Amino acid sequence: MKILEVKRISKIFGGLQAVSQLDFHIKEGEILGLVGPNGAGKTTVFNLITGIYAPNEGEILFRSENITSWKPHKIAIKGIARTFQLTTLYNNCSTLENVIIGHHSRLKARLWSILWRTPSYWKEEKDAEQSALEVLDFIGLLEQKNTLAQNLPHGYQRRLEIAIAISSGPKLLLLDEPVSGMNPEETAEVMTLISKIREKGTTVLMIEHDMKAVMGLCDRIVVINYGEKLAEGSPQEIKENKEVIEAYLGREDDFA
Amino acid sequence: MDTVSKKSFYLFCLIIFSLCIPLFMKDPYRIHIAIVTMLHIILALGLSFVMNTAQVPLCQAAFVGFGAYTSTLLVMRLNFSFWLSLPSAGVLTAILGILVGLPTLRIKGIYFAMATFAFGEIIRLLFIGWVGLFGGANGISSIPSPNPIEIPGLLTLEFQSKIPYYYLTLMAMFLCLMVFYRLNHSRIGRACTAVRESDLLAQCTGIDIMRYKVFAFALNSFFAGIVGSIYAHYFHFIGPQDFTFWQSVEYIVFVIVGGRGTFAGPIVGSIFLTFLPEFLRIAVEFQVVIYGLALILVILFMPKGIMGLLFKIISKSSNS
Amino acid sequence: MELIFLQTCINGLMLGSIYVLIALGLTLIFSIMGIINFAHGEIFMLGGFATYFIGEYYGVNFFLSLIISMMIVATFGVLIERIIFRPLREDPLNLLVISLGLAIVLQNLALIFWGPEDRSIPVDFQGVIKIFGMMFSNERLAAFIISVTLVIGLYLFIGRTKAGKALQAVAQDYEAAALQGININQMNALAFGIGCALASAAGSAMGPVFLVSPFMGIMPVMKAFIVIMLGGLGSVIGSVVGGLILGIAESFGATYLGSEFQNMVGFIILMVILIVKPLGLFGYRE
Repeated sequence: MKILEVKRISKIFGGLQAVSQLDFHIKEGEILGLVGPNGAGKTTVFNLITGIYAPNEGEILFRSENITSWKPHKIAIKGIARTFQLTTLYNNCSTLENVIIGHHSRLKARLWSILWRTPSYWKEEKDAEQSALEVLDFIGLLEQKNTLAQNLPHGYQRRLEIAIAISSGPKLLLLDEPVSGMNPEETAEVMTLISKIREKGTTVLMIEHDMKAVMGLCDRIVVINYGEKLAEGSPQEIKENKEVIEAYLGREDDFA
Repeated sequence: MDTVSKKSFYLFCLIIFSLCIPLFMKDPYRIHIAIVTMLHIILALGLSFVMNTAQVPLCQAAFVGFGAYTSTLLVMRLNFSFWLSLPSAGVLTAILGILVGLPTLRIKGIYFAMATFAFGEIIRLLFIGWVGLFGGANGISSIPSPNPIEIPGLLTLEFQSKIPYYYLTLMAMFLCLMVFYRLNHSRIGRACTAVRESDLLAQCTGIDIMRYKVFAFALNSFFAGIVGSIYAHYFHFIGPQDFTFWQSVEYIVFVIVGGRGTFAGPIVGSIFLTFLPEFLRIAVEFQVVIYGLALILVILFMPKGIMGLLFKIISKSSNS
Repeated sequence: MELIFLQTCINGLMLGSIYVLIALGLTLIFSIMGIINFAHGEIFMLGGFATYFIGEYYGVNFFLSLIISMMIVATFGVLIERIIFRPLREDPLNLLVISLGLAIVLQNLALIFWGPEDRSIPVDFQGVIKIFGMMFSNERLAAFIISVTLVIGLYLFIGRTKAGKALQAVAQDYEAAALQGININQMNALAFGIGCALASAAGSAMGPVFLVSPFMGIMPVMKAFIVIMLGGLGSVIGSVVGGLILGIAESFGATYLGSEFQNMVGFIILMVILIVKPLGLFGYRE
């Protein structure tokens, strides 16, 4: 079943066409790669899907529901989570706190229960902390739970971002360059992580420049350039696609 | 004793202590300072809660004034009992807070500050201009004390001396402390922290930013209204000059000097800056100069305020 | 009847020209440094006091003491910029708050040292002038002329001199300007100094018209904020247009309405603009 359908969306920024008539879909349970040269509009696509921008044209359907122009927090509650190209964390909070905050949409305590500290409040707080610890364990950051987010090394920070994203229990996870700035070892670890996330039932849409990661993980790939869809298919098909190879010529040779 | 019961024990002692203060502190002037300090603490806590959602309002005094005039008018024109006008002032000021907050909280940083500054001035000018309702530049005088509390058969508590006011304010402060403490340690408090740390990430994690900003703003207005009501019936006189922009600035000074981003910061800042000039018995102008200098020095050299300094000292000594 | 209308208009222009001076200083400081300087009114006040004392103790001619005051206050301003504002360059909210602290310190130090009494600055050209049947006080006329002169001077400076053009570059894009070799620190100091000089001149010019007192800067600077928000933060034309509009509107308000409601209108305009179009009429800065 198609968990996400992006139907002919376009976005213009003051005269610059960032995305043009883009059309693709994601099947439930797959890992879809979104690749393209720098400036192709990939992050803009993420921003359109998560409601940070509203498209000028087109529709976005999430599990058959039209979420075009919805506010970001509503879309997040519906079940789409994301990470960002530039590391975005709650810097002055500990790793554990970051993940607990990520649980926000799953917590239901009303103002009343909070003020009177009813048993249901205590239970929910305990459960949230427990769940956060489990997420940290899954991600491999359990030891760093009390470290301030800004003090974590880069690789761990990127993982924490993923931890925050999955703690809301999303159906669809959008990862924006999850392994950027990582050495091959860290990259391999994160790749395993993403596989595990998919195995647990979350669909993944991933932007990445690291071709090894893309080829190794993705079931399908969509290539965009200048805001338009260039090609779509399995990793093998994309590798052999002439237009794709051309689009990457003249850029860094990361298409080995 | 584990940490939780240790904390509860200290808390219990502190509460008993504060309840007993009037018993051994007989000087009415000192009780007056205590009352004013507690009112400042309430205002600083609310302000800090709003500032933790990354907005700096410059209209706190206007909310206090609105609460003061509302309570006064309810009692003097509509014959409300103080015990009804007190919560009403809180609720009505909260409503005002929502009305002002909804359009303005969307605006960023300095523009929001300017908008609240303008709002504060509009309210103050309203107090001066609408003479029929607010008494104009002369304000309203002879505001009655709170109605006596009668517990049949036991006692009648009349608001003649300062002591009943002390307990009234103390209760209000306890309420305020409890509310903000519990909120900070809940998902609401965490949501506000998230909004402050990264509103982009907060949104994408399912946090409705405007909802929490408006909530914080309205809650702060509620308590400001309560403070205003107590103020009116304690000083028995209010005028527009009591609720100016510069008073709003003072409240900001309390929060910043004490240390924003911490729970104890606003409390410490209020106590320190209210006690200090009073016990130095210096003239108002010098007091204000001290506030201004404290603000400048803290922002330049101690951005985390007194609490920040304390934490640094504590962590340094535990490291060495 | 038309005469009163015209007179009100012209009085408004004169009043507005003072607002323009204050607003220009503020907007210059904002466009170069990104600071909303709440202490600007106190700079204005210092200008007034400086002119008063120079005239009082040295018997110097008014226009001369105005110029000397400008230099003194500008120097003071540059010191303030260096010590207080520069460390906080990237943090507009903290800058705003610190300028609040500065404002209350200056107001109250003035109160402590010079007392609360209003003082007037006596000038040799006191009196009234009659033009086409309308009466204008010489003091207001002088204020207007001073303002116009300074505005023209500023315009020429920004447009024609090397330093002025450097200022323009910094206002547009300070990173690019820095890459071109422009010394940002110097430009900030220059902008702040000029801004303070303008405010000082406005304060001195107001001295003979109204009175000099420690709190004289509060209302004018609030008006100036309305002006620059209305005209657009960072826009010089906006400040001029906005200042004149406000001056005229207030003049009419004073003549035909009550004074408190007249003041309130200004703040309502400010709030509405911030909510609806924070960039104002001509503003371009983000």
